[in-house]
Amino acid sequence: MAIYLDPGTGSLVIQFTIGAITGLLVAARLFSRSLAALFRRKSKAPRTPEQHVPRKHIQDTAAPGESLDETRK
Amino acid sequence: MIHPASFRDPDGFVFQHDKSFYRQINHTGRADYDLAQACGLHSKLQAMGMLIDHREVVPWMSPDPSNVYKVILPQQLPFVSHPYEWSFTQLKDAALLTLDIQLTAMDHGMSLKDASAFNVQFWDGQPVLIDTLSFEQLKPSPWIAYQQYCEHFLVPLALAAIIDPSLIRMLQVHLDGIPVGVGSRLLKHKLWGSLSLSMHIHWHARSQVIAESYARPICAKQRELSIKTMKNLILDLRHATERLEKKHSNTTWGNYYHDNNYSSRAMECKLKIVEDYLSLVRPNHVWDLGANEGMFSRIAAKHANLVVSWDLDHQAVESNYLKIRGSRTNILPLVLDLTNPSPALGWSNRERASMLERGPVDLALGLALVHHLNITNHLSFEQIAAFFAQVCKHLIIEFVPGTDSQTSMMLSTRTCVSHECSLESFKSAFLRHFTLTQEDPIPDSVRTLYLFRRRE
Repeated sequence: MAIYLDPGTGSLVIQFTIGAITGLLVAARLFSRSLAALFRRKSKAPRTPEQHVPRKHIQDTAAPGESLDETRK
Repeated sequence: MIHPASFRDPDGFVFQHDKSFYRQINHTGRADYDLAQACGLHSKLQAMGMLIDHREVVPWMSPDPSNVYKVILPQQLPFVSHPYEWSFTQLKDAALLTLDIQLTAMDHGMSLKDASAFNVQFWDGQPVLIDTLSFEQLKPSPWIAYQQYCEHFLVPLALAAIIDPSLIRMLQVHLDGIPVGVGSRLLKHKLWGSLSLSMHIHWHARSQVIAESYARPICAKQRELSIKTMKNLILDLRHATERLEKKHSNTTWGNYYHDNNYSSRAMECKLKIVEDYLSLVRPNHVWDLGANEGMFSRIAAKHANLVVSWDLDHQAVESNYLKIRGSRTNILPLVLDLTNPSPALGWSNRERASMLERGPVDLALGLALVHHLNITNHLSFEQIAAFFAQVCKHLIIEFVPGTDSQTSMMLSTRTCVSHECSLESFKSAFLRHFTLTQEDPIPDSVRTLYLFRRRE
């Protein structure tokens, strides 16, 4: 029977336990970060999605099918 | 033709038509695709450069018209790399991109339904998600892609950071990600001090064992996990991933440019000759084989649309990537053992293309490389020339004779029949596959540069 059960089930179940603990961890990190910011003039901010470099939109680039040889996927 | 790796998602697939790659959205994927478009998630991620651009086209070319809802034309990638060819920071950047996308998706009421490293590609020096159909409506339930994230990203990164960066190559064997159970056994007591990593790897693995030995299915999918808890889980995964740092290691090739036998004049002349050759050929795609930290890839990048900068040494590829990271460059550094290049993998050996299947390219660079293949790896000039003839139409290659101080050092511990390492033997082997376009001795050295063109 066991082999018919997807090990992914355990990956779903463990999220209830880890989720409960990470709530405390995330809060503790936020607290320690704001505490550290009090003592540091400039604390190193974590990378945010906004730091990705925006690309040109597809309409601005080559027309479909142009220079597409040797492309994949 | 449907892409051979595109069979897992019932909501759509990638197909090729007339040299372009398209993505079909099936009727079953209609609701999620429309939601991602309507809530502004697609446009927001695309504006930030995190998701590949696309536009909808008339679906007349669909290979499965009975299921078609829409067909989109994504921005075409010039080259597809595989996660087992990435350096530590490339894999880490791809991991952080995946989590940042998940956090952005959650703000828009959506969630990633998979977290495959194969869904991320490097383009313009930064990672980008290429699977436009990866989103589903956010539900208060466990994150369905949690296991995949851990196995495709967290476990390989932890192994690379804590044990050795070359373990990223394990993804070549475990195409669906390194199982958390395997990661947990390899990392055993090495995760002390990181509660997050212990939970996501050790506890996670233990939970899988318990679930597998449980006599009946557990309906975890039906149990509710609040959105806030899921967000905390993602934030904790992000924290654990971001804290993983590769230990600096001194490798054979990691310091090559500071530790070689070129005089500054010889190096200057070599750069100039290579640049002249490149402006003569004006290639579109270039492969720099044995690129080290990519000094010559940067020269090639000025003359080509894409330069793939391959090297065996993980530290050299890492340094190369750190130099170009986020700089909108057309250089893609990748790890490759030329004597054992990436093979064709996956179902029917067709899911992941081999190194050779992704070529041939307009031009290849083989600088300060042949004597290593010839002396260290015992490959004859004939074998090396035949390989390059499969890889490229034009070839810039450097011959390093036995009288060179570095070659002499290599020969002192190895045997090589002198005529097999000679210039005559080198030229006659390459002239069987190529015609000679240019030949220039490098001043202030005993080395010679050649520009060859493949015989048709």
